[in-house]
Amino acid sequence: MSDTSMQAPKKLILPYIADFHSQVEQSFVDNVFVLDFSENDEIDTAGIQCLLYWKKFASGESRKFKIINHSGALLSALAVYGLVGLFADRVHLKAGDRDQYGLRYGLNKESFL
Amino acid sequence: MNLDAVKEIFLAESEELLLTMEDSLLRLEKEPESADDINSLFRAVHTIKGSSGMFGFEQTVAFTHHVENWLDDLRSGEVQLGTGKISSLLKSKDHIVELIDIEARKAQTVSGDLIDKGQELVAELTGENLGSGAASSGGENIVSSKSNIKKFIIEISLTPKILQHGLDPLSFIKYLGGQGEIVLVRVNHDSLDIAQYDPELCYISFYIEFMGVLSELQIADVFEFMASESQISIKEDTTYQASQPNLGGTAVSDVSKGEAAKKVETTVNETRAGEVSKPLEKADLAPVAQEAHKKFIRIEAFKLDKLINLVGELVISGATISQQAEHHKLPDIAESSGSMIRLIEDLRDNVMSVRMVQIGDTFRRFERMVRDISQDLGKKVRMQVKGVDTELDKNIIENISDPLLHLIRNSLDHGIETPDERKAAGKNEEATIRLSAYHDTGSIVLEVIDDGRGLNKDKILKKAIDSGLVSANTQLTDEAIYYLIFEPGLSTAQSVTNISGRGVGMDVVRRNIENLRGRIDLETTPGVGTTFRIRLPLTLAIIDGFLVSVRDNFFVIPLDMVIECVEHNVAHLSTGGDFINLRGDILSFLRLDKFFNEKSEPPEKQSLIVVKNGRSKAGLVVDTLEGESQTVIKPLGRLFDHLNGISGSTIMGSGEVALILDVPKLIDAAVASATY
Repeated sequence: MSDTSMQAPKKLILPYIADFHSQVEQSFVDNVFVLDFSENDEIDTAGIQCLLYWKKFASGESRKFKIINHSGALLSALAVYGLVGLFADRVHLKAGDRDQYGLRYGLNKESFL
Repeated sequence: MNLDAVKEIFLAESEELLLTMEDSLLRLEKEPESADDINSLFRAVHTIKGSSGMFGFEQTVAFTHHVENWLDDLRSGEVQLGTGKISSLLKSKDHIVELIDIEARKAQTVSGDLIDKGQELVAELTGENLGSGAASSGGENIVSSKSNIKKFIIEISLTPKILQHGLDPLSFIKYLGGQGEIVLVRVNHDSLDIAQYDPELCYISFYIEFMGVLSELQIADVFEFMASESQISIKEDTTYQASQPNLGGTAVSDVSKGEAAKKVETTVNETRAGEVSKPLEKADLAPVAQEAHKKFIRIEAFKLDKLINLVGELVISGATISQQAEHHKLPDIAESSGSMIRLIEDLRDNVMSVRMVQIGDTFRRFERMVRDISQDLGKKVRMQVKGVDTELDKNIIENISDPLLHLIRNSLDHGIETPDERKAAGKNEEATIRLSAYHDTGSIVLEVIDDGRGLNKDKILKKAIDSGLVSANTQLTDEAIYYLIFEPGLSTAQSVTNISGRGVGMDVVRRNIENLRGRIDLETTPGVGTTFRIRLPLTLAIIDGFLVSVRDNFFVIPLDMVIECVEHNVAHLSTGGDFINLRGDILSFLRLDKFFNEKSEPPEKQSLIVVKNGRSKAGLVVDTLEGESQTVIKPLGRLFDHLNGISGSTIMGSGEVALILDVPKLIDAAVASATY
């Protein structure tokens, strides 16, 4: 199984979402696609929804869409929307992060299918 | 609509709400029991807090939260409103202005000093010392200060274009989290269709469980900004036994245990339509603003200006077609262009009316200033306003504020006496400044009237002589002496204060008014008071004009200043001085050819146009009367600033330029040059 990885943009927000979506579309050719959020510092609902789309797409094709190096912005948005469990990626939390991001719900693994 | 546009709306609405807050406070100072004003005050602060929360303006939320709580106590009668509190609230209003400016307009972080200042203001208002960091989170304090915790189920479905319209549900849900505790959010992505996905459209919806002390109406308020882009259902979960979670680490002692609260389902739209009837609570106040929004739309000023310019060009093009049809003798085209011109006139009038703004808001801004300055000066002053619904072109309103401000400051500082002086003069200790606005023969008249000591003629004259403005042996009428105050550099103030400045203002006031094609007059009676009267045109853009010619030159006279036209031959007009007996009245007149240095011979027959400005009248001698014409005013530019008697220019249907006459100046010139 081969992997493709891509760096998530600094700002994954509406004005740039169509470009981002098209880049993933062109890059997601292997079975596993890894999106690195280490340089990201802003994400909005359009960005979260796009991640949901690719997660759903990958699940439907028995492929994998993974997120690594969650940024604070991403973690905060996933926490509010209770989506950490749904994406089911490994999240590295430092001491106190759980309280900082209010990770209180949506932590159990779920499936799209 | 993008986020910047939404923020602009927030800024504009906040400005209005803060004005409302100030108005209410000033009224409450006179009538402290006025429930309407207390509610309006509360509503303003409550709405600003809510809207600030949507954008994450934390310090604005934190500060307004404390003010809101105190106002809530005021509404319930737990605290009283004295003069000291009014001052604290006025200072709080100023502080909110400052916070919004920093957080919203400049997108900067609020400094520690300003946060401290806010805490001092809260301490002044509430008598509670917040200590450092206490103003950091409005939401937490809401929870800790109240105990009636309820649980709600909120379901939100969104329109596909909500994201494109600059609204992000994430901000609203985060803000809701600051008002209590979000127990659960479930994102429903069933509609996220893999086959037909547009990344800019919204496909998700939300199920939220929330606990807090907010009512369902207050929760609806949280989502108010996205109400038009969503369907929101808010249900209280009556099965919730409030002995469970500890919100934000705050002990919850008095919760509605086992209370069989009735199930209330409220959608945002239902709430806005006022179908849910409840006693007056915090969030009950929001629907008023929402209803108002349905009746008005906000338009950026530049769009209106652009529209006016286009209508102006349309007026000129219409006139061109009409003139061409007449020139080429095309009756069908002439008839069609006639009806088109009538439509353009209607369009013009409608567009112009959109630009008209009531003077009331401008007047109201001065009430606070009069209050504060009179208190600083130890004077007792009551401000009265009249004609607040008088409408003026928005550009004029924007430019008249400063001159009015200066006149009022001058009255307060120099015109109005101290209570002791007034008492000694047999006057009421409380002075009055009256601001009024009214229509008068196609103009708007604004008056600033005080019942102070009046202008001191001797002092003005001495100052004018000392500063070399007039020579010691010049004989001037009383009126001419009084008008010297409009000359540059003349100040009779015994001491320079920071209220009315350094005596460089009245000439600037006059110049600013003249730049608006207006004029300022004054009447003063020693010991009785002074009236400043500003006469302004209704609009600065398009006027009905009367076209005349002098040899090859065309001039436009604003039609509302024309009284009548009289035909005279040159010989008759030439006899005696520049005045005639018009049906028993002496009328000064001005020959435009002579005034504008036209050397060629005049025709045998000329016309005299009688014009007026306020109470002044004069005649203008012209060669030919061309008739009425819609006149789109084009500024002449600085190069022509020195031109006396001309206030602007316009382009005629033929493409030629006509100059617009400055009638007030010409009347003055006619009166001054007439030899009786």
